[in-house]
Amino acid sequence: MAANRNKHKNKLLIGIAGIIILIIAVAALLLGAQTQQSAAAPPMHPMQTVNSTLSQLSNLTQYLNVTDIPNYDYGSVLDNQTVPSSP
Amino acid sequence: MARRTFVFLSALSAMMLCLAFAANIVPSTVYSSISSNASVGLNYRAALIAAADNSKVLSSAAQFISCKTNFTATFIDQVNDEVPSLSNLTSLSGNLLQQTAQLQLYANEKNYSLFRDYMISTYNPELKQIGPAVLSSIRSANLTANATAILRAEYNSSRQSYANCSFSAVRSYALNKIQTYDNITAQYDVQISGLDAQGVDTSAMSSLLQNATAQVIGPLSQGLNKSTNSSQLLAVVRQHCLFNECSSASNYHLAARFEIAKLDAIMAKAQSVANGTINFTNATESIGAANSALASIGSSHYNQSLHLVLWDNITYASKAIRAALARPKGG
Repeated sequence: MAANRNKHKNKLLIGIAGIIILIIAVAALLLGAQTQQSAAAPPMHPMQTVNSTLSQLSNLTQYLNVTDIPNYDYGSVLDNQTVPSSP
Repeated sequence: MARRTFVFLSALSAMMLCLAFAANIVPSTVYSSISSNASVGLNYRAALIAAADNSKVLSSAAQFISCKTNFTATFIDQVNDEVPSLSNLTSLSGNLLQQTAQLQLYANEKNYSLFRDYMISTYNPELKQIGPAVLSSIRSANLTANATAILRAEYNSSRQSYANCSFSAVRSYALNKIQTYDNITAQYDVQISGLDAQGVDTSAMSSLLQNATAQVIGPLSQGLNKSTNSSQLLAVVRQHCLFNECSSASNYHLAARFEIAKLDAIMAKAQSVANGTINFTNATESIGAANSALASIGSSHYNQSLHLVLWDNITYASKAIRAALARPKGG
């Protein structure tokens, strides 16, 4: 009687585990598919290509500022005049 | 047995779930890092100005001037003590002390250009004429051998104090100069990282920074450690300049070189993105003119008019690239 109950319990546990795995596997597949979809984007529309190019070029413009280093452009402040020599 | 199987299968499914979740998260992390790098170049000029803060360098320069003034004024006092008839020399040291106070004021105000202009046009000529004037007065006073010997002994004693004072000031100047160089090159590194994130080839810029360290900052630092007196230190400082501050032919002109390399790299990247359709003719001509000016300057110190030729072309090239990028189809 007890052995039968145990057997029945084991079958129940395995059944529950099977269902959980099935649910998780389906969820993982769905998530994976979603990731792949976003990674391998479909070929861009010509307008999208232009927008992408413009965006990349626009990003470059912020690095176009140029500047000399202030105060280092016209010479040293280290005095070169010598002191009086010995009498 | 069944329980173990259950636990194992549960753990396995949890791992799968984590992996699937992680696969979704990673791309967004990478994207946010690129986005934050994209804002790096925005405050470039402000960051460089802050990095080039020269208040400590100016303070050391003022300290060096004080050493000279104190030595000269002390020498004049010694002459007056020994030869009271030469008391008119006191006015010379008075002028020098007044001018030194003015220079100290400019240093406190962090006004590099006024400090330099005043030092060159007012202080140096004053100091230059004091030496011969004092020696000439002493000669015409016909001092006894004993009085001359006393003056020489006092002079030598003051001269030792001056040697210590000037060594300390020039050493401090060199240390502050190296620190400022490090601050500035760190900002260039930030700029390189930002451009790297945009896919720009930054090898030329990196190479310039490596050479700057190898040819200027490193030798300056080594020379500083080896020098035992102010003359050696002065020679080292005057032979290693990262920008345009050496009057000798020892200037690396890093700022101009870096900006030219940067603009070249940005143009190359833009052309690769736009399949060579951008018209960079104006920018290329200006960069060519800037490169020619830089080549003719070499490592010399450039004056204001050459500075204008060089930097006007660099600035114009930057504006021309911006204009060309605003109409990428060459229109």
